Amino acid sequence: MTAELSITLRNDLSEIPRVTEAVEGFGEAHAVGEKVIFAMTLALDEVLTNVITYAFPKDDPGPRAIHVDVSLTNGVVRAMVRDDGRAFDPLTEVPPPDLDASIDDRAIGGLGVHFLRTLMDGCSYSRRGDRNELEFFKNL
Amino acid sequence: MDILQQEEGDVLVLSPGGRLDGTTAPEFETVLLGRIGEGRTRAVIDFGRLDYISSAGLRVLLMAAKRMRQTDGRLVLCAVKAHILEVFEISGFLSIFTVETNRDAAVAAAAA
Repeated sequence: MTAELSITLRNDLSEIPRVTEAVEGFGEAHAVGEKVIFAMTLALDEVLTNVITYAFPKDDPGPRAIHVDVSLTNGVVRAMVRDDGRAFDPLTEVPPPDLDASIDDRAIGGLGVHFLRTLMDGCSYSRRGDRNELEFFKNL
Repeated sequence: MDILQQEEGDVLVLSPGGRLDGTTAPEFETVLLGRIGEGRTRAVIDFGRLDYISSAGLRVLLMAAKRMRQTDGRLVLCAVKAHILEVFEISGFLSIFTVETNRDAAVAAAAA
């Protein structure tokens, strides 16, 4: 049994709540636990925020379309985010935060990708043609 | 976003409701950093009404903590729901912030 959800959004931060609400509804409808729903929602929020904020040139912001596909198959929730912005692999290009730094030295930022790595059971990036594809999954 | 502001003695208590994410963090930043900019040095953020936080929200908390440190102030968090507490934990925020279970304890810690 596979359940699927597909959403297309504009590159505008105000679009993100629509996506996270849809994913929460999808999870509840298919008896996905609250913990997994929250982790998935947060990971998607962070990924989409990065794409919307950094992927498109400031002098030619669009609107551009970003595609989100979420599926539930054999106890695994999987998400795929596709955009046609500049090539960017957050998994290798964003350094991990220094979690032990003091308040003064602690950098502001870099936590979004850290959440993705920490909360998901796996994630992968690929560049296909003119598209970024970021896939991540969590086991129920 | 809906942000309740109360005074408990010298301590300012802020209670944001709902979601603290990329769409609501700018407003929370304006209120919190604005109050610190007015010279508030004792503050509590009560998370009891907050259901969700993303890195955009954590960014505001970290900025507030940095500002408070410059003025020898105290910023204490309280009533954090379990899934948000987990986000604090994986962010290393539990070694930066004092987190109390309830508002009374937080106000006492901030006032001390």
